Amino acid sequence: MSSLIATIKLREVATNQAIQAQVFDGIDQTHLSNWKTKWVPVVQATEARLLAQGAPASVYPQSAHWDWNKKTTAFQNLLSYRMFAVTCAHDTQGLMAVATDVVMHPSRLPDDKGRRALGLVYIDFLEAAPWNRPEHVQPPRYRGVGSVLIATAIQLSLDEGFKGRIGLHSLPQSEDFYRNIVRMNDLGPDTSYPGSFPLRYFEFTTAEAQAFIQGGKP
Amino acid sequence: MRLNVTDDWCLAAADREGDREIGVGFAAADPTVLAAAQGQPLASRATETTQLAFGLLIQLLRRRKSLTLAQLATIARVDMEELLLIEKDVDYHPEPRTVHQLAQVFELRPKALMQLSGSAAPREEVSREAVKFAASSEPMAKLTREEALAVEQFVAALNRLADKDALTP
Repeated sequence: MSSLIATIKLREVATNQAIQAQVFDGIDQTHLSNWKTKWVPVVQATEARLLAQGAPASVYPQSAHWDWNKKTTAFQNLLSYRMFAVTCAHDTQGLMAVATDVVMHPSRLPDDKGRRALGLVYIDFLEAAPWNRPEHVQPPRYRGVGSVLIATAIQLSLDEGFKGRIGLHSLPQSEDFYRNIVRMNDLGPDTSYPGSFPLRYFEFTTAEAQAFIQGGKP
Repeated sequence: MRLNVTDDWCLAAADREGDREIGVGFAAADPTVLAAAQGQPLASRATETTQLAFGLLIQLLRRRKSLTLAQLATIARVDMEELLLIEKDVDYHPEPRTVHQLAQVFELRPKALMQLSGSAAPREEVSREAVKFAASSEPMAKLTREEALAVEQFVAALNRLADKDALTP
């Protein structure tokens, strides 16, 4: 079940027009069906193209194996998890799963009183529809999905009493967005993660999150 | 919950965002996962034995904590169906995130568990220890003293190898 929490605007790249879109608290079957019937074929086509080109593994879509059906099944009964969707023009444009458990995901930066290990909203998974991403479709269809989902996570953090604090592990191809556009604090590669890809951890303090959501940052 | 952002904010943010990638998630770029997804043979892929040992280990560690599958799924925040596949299907490749969550619950070195699960190439020593462990364990209703000992020795060996890996440049 999902409920509408905002009507927002995305930028349509082809026309440069502002297009009305919606943000939902909760992912429902409509969003998942759209993921399965529309997202997955685009991602598979990209993988087939890269395979035919003999492209190296490093350029493959880094979220290609994510299964939002499985994620939704796993998370929907957990009180500490919330899921969000952005829709526009009858299509799901972005999906996000966040955790709000302070035990597993405490803050790593000190607050204004020097306290650490406080509660935050941890963005576990965030993905835009493949047609909004240049690695799949050129030119992409809509811009702004990522910023709206970050704002949603900040709002949830405020509602949960975490004062806007959020944290996330960025995929390597997305580091530029979180470091230079959202301007989160880059705490470096997280070596507590397994394998040869220690993803970089990013975190927003209260003041920085409020500045972002109020448009205070250029 | 209500999200209050103005149209001007959305459009200014969209223009700043441009066509940048925004994905957040767990170790999605591991080439072993990509190759597996494409059905390509992996030269360094874990053998069936290491994956069998992985399933056995998770099952025995779960039983040692007296947890049902549903309880472990809740604690580790993973899909119960995936846990079942891990314990029952030697060909199943769990997602790296799942392996990491299980490592946290059972206080294991994530890197060692990744090698065992097939999400990362296993060291030869890991494969050897896995064979010893798989041969000494048989899933039964109750964890025997021998199984408990086998689990402890196997976990210690995995952690030793992970520590050696950490020292290797």
